Amino acid sequence: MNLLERYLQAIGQYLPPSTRQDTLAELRANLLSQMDDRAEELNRPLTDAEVADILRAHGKPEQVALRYLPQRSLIGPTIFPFYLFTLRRALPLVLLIYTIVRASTILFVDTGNIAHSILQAVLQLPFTLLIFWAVVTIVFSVFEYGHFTRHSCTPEKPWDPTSLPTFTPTANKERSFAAKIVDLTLHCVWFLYVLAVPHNLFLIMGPGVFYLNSIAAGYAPVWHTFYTLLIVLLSVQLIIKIAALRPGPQPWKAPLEILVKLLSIAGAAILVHAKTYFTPTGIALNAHTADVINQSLNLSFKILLFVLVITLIVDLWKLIRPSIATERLAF
Amino acid sequence: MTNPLDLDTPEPQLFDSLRLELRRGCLIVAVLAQLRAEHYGYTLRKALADEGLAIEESTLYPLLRRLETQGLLTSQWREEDKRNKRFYRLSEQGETTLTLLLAEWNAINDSLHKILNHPKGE
Repeated sequence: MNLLERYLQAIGQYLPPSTRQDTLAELRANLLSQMDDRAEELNRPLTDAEVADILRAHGKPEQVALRYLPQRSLIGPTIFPFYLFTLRRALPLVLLIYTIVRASTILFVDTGNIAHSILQAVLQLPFTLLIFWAVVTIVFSVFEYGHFTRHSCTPEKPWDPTSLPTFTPTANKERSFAAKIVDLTLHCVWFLYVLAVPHNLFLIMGPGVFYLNSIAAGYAPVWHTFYTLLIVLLSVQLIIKIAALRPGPQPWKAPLEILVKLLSIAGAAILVHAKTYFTPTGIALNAHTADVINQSLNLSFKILLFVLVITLIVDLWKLIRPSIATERLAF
Repeated sequence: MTNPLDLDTPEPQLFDSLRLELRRGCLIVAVLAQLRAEHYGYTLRKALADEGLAIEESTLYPLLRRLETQGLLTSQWREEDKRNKRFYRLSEQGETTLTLLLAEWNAINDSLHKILNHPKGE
């Protein structure tokens, strides 16, 4: 029976001292009875291997001990819905504040590589979210502890069902086919318009093209890169709009729209990073005027980049939000 | 009779989880009902298994402790066959609770039968 004692000793390591002896004595009695029965069946004493089989079937010591311990939860079922509600409500706010702070730093403080600063901000986001989650969890754990230890016996306040907010049906209707056709047509027109731009800059710059010609301003190479990316972006959008003509659920649409947003951000980041958009090609444009134009455009592109990043974060949140809601329902 | 576990279910893990959930409440009723007569852990497990309701030791023994803490069972250490054993029995509170649980169980059972006996789609 050395094996049994060793098994019980291993279980005892995980049990609280107050109930250890009692629990082990009961387990010993039950296991010995089981072994007696088995020996009676076999009509001989059990071998060590057979004892080991019984103990193995009974379970690992730590798992057996765990079942004797009271069930504990950091945040109990009373507080948990409020905890989840707080996390869900506060998360967009945290993301917004983080984006504003980081974007302001990138726009007005950082003087280095803009793409590097954005990458750094994105990489640091999970850590910020982790801290946010940890702080909320600690606050609610303390609240739970206080709630639990108070043993408050005050009855729950009666609630009035008539005070519930009015029912507003969610508008989740699919767009009509006609609306999709109009959308596709407008996109095609826009695409053709953009394709025509290299042949006639007036289409994009209007009378400004005459002004640029008059001051002898040349276009920087960044516009070629940007234009290529813009064509890719419009092509992806065209594919999405054609595929969207098909009725029924379109689970691929949201991720592809995120891809479009990412391409837009890449385009804006390229423009921000370039810093030089027009260069003097003659004596009519002096270096100072070119600098002023370039700096103004750079600021505009930084604002555009900021807006696009915010839009992406909002879209990502909308994309992941339904899955979070489902998990919440599972509780 | 076909064992449902032998069926090629599309998601056996899901079935196991649902089965476990379904069994959990039933086991408590079964244990309370069986303990209208005195038992110690091992004989209780055997008695339940004989009735077709096998429970793992690691589930049953802690459950007995928990039910005792909740006041539904009483226990007593006593010597039997030259060995000290802890015998459990349904307490007064346990009897009342068992009566209520059985009423609930019967109501659920009746409702379920009615639902299952409806023709499909009605």
